[in-house]
Amino acid sequence: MASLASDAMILLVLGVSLQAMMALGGLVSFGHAAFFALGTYGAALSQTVWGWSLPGALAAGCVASLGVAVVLGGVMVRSAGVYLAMLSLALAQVVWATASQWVAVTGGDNGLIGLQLVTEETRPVFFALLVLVSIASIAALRRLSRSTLGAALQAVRDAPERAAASGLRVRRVKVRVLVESATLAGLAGGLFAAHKGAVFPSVASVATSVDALLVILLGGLHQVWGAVAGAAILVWAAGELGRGFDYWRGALGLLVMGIMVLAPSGLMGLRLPRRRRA
Amino acid sequence: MTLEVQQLVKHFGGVQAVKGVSFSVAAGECVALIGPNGAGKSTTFACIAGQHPPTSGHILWNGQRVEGLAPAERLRRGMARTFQVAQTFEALTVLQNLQLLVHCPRGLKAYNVLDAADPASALRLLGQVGLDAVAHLDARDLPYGARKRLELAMALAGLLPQPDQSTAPQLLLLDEPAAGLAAEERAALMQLVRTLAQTQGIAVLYTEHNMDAVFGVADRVLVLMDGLLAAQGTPDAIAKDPLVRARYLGMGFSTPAGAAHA
Repeated sequence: MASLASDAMILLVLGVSLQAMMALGGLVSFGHAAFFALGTYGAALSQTVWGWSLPGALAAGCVASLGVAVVLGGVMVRSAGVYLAMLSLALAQVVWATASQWVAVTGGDNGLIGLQLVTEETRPVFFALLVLVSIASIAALRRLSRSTLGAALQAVRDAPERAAASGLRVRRVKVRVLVESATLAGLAGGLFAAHKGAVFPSVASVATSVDALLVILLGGLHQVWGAVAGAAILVWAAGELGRGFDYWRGALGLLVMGIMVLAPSGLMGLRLPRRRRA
Repeated sequence: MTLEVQQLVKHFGGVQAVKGVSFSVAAGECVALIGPNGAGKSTTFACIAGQHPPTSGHILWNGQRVEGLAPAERLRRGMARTFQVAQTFEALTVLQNLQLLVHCPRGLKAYNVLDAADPASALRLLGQVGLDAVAHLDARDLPYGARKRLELAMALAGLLPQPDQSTAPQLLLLDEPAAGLAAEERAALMQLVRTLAQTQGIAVLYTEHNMDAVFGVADRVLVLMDGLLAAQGTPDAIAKDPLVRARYLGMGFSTPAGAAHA
């Protein structure tokens, strides 16, 4: 149970990271797993190569994602809409290919196993850390959506020409949210590596990117609490539904289609109308 | 003389859209740029507003060349603009639209709450364009006429004096400010533009298709035809110009009733 809750919280943090750039900045990513995977491998390698413990490993994961986002962010945000989505998907595929084929460093399909970032004694502390990071990331998203930077993101999303003519640095604002989003996704990846004790190339797979999208689409892209609902449903579906039902992903797909048609603003959007939006 | 356009030429491939246009706009002056479709007025406007680099010729603002400057830099020098189809930040309230722009030069932070950012200046701008009653409506819910006014206020927000500079000369470039508006809305908006030019000394250059937004409003009218400046002068002189009547206004044209201003 605690393990399922940990899974849900890690997925929640990944979802919130995607929500920040997608809901506020209008930057759609089909490859958010790229930054998540960089976080997992950054954290895992920092231990297998340098023997770093949890704090250093999490920092290494964040830095790996942040570094790639800083280098590629400027190029990525030149594209928008479906082109950006495909570009992000391509990045995730590159990360996945690297993870599965650079055997000497990543272990290839055998992955990196036996990580000792969290031991049985420290697991309760780690669980508390997950709760803390989850709450902090939702609070940060809420704060961002009401801030001048958050307003600028929405301005750049809704009327880029007007924003530029009014002196907003459109590209700088976009790169900034992309880098911050990638860093949080990297943190989620580091937490995942620590929680599982092993990483495999599947963390960079399309399925992982889709999970991140599902988390926010199920709960509602513009709902501050949407990622909580989405992560909980997704982990529950995988854990409970998946146990006795081989086609749970198919069933989940139908559920998502139903939600998109019947409640386009997500499950949390079904509550009182006109609530504060993210 | 604050805005100077010198021998502006713009080619698109083999098409010569603008073939050498020169004119100027002084502080406090309200100048309309008119002409038939394809005459090059949109291209001329786009070059001045920085959307297209001129093929040759210069655009000087306050004695300095401004071709090729980034939008933010143009704004810093006191050149603001609106768009033909009003662009506003739809997810924000009317007041927040302006709070963001008023606050923007001071830097955008994830920990600065937007609603706390200088509502007084934003409200003052809203008062100027007559939108204070709808300050807390989402911009997406505004009728189109009100969105045109909001965008004008957004352009004005960019001209507010910044701490690091003394009051620089100001230029408003309005791309068809009255397009899509009903007759009364059009008259009220153009009167507002005229008042801004006169009371704040802002130089205004606008393109327009509606003649009642030109005659009775502009101090001076520029008529473009076939990429060249065919005529310029006071609205009265333009209304009587035989070439302009023959080629654009129509021989039966008379200035809108009560439009002649002192």
